[in-house]
Amino acid sequence: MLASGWPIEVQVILATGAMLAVASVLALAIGTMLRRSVAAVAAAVVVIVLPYIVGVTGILPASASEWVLRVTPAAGFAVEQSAPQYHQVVGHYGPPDYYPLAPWSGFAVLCVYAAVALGLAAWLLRRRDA
Amino acid sequence: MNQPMTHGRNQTMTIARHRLPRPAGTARAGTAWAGLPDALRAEWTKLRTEPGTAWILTAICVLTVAVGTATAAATRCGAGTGCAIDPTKVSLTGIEVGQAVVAVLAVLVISGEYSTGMIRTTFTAMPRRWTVLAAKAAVLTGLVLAAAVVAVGGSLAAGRLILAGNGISAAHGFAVVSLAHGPTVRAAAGSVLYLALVGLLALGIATIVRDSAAATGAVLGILYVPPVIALFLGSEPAWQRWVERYTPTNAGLAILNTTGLHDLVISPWAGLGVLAGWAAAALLTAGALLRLRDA
Repeated sequence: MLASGWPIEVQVILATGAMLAVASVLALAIGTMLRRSVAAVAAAVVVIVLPYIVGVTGILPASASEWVLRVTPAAGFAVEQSAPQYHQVVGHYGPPDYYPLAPWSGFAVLCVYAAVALGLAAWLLRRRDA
Repeated sequence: MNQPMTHGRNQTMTIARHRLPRPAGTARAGTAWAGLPDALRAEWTKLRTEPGTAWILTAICVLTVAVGTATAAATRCGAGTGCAIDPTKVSLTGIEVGQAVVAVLAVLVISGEYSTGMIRTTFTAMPRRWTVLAAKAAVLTGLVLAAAVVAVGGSLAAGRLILAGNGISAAHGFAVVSLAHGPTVRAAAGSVLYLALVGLLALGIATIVRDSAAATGAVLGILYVPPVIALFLGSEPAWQRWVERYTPTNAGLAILNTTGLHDLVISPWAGLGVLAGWAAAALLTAGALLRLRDA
């Protein structure tokens, strides 16, 4: 999806780096908003890592897992998807090998969360006393 | 004439010495847990007057019930598909989130004191470090148990109402979420104990690590990373089985299952025992380090 001719591995490597970078920006924004280290670390883990675990480990029924991997920041993990999905092959197209969103769509969901959180953090930082 | 007077004075002094108020945690050398009631009262006062405690306890209840409710609402079973749904386990999904909040409370109980310097006051007033740790563990356990009872009760009540509405009911062959159902009672009581043990594990780790942010990261890492590792060990079944049997969350959460008990890699109570072992190891290491290190 990066550019035709590039091996999928290159896309996964670059996209994973970008995904971690954006996740760290989201964590920075959460930390700025909450101002307390314990609460910030816990909130970042609960918002980014927990939905991924709940989505991929099959704790939830399939419909609920798909929903979790679409609408939470864990949608960004879709960039890990490297195997193509064939419409003519009937199989289990579920996590952790297959995600409900296409790689860059999932990445975009994470970016939206990071951007909104960063905006909110900047606004709060200006408005509040240190 | 002299002798009785001396005798009388000595007796008076002895009585007076006995009536002196005893400084907390210092007197009666040789008794293992001397000063524990005083330490308990001190820890209770500290935790009760901390502004965050009430919010955290509320968050444990609200998040657990909210996530359980949302999961139950998203759970459907199409007619004739024969899906394997464990209604009790689905209702208690919120435990996955609630345990993170329990960990936050447990970390704050000890790391909060290290970050403000309060720990030096604490150990000056109560030099017996095992006593202080025991008091912290007891007060934390009491609060977590109280919050967990509300969280688990609320989750099960919500699951019972919502799942029946989604067609997951006795009429369709599912075990209804009910306290008349033995495995459900075991899962309910077990998940309350699970949250208390997670709190004790987190307290132990935070006492070892001391820094609050690092402790939170370490605790959440121990809780949340092994399930992901187990997931990717599919090509190494022996390792996968080991991780699923002996890591705190994988083993401990076996207590939530009420159906398919023969397919579990570890039985519910044995799984909770594994978590208890982790918590005990963490607390013993923490207590030994507290004694060895300066505050």
